[in-house]
Amino acid sequence: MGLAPLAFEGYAVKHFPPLFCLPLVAALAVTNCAAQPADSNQPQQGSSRARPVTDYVSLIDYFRAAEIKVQAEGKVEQPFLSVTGRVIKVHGEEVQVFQYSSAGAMEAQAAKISPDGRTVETSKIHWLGPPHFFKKEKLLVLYIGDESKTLKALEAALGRQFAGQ
Amino acid sequence: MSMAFHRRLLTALLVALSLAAFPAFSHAEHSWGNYHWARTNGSFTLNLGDNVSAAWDGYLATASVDWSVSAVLDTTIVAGKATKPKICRPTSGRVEVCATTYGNNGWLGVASIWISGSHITQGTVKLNDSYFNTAKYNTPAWRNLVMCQEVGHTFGLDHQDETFNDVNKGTCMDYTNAPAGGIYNGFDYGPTNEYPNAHDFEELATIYASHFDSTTTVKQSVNSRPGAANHEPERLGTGQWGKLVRSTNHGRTELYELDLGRGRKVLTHVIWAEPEE
Repeated sequence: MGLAPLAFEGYAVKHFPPLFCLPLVAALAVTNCAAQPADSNQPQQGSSRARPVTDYVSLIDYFRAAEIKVQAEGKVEQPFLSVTGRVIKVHGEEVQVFQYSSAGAMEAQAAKISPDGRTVETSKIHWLGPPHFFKKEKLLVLYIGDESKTLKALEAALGRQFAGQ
Repeated sequence: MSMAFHRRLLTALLVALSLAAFPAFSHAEHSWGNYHWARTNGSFTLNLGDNVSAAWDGYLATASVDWSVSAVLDTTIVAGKATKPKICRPTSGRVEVCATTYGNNGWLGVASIWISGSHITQGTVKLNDSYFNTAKYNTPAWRNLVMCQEVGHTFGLDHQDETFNDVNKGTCMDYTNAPAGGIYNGFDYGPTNEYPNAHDFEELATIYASHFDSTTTVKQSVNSRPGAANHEPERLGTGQWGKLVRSTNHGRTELYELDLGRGRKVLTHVIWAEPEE
């Protein structure tokens, strides 16, 4: 299964148009709204009001706005998913975020995941704990665990899980 | 009457007897879809490619032996062909078993099968050393559980139970927090979940003894008894009775054993008709 090209670079520029950038420049002391792409491995500083969640950046924004502690933990690859994901910690629990090139591409991937979250097409996965799959727009989000605060935060941002335990 | 007629009659009777026992399988219900290796007759031998480190070799051997208790299939460990365990490239007609550090991605093992219709054509097992190298999972119980379960999936078996925090069902096809069983975090998990149980063998019999296919997807497939090559055409079909456990009178009388699990077996005595002069 080939890995789809990453599409994270430059999101800060794409999703923060110039006019919106000005107050942020003052607040954040430059970098993210500059011409060069931001390091999307780091959660972005959010606005005071959460935007609709459509992608990785807006998801981080959402958590920031909701004053939910979130931090970036690096990247993750799953052999049964076609894009590289990012790991973030939400309420101290690791959450995997996979961003697809479009909502359609994400839906095509999500359709291959069984309702119990343990099978993707013809692969059976022995998770460390109960899996929870969420989706919204371009995002497919996976949380393995049963921490209620994390689950509630994800549900608030992304809606009810579409697969899992 | 001809010998061929005798054999057809005998076979028909024995098949009917065997089929009569199949309603007992009705409670075995953890097949993975309807996926199965295609084979034209008999029990079959599935090759397991060894692409694992020495730390895993004993567990692969255990799983191979344990699953081979099944009356309908045997497994043999052969040299791996995956070359790069991280990718674990499949090989047609067999299962490649791989172990390496796949990263902290949340899974201990992944079993993948490739299918044509409902027929499994190849399979892979990936075991994640990123976790098995940690103190929590680097135990015989965890290694046995995951190796056994992932290999079991490649036969077309699903889980018997997917709840982590209930009493173990005594099979590796059951998720658990405590693969060794016993008391863990104040809860008595009961029996070990490191090996297959009778229910798994029942399900395998349901999947594989109930029908044969017109083709085979297993490479190096059908078992034949030593020295039986000259009689191959005459022996076709005996696999439905399970394993040959006794042969006397120069092959004229034979005893086959089909394990239905939970201690139940179908013993089939065959008295072959005398060859026509």
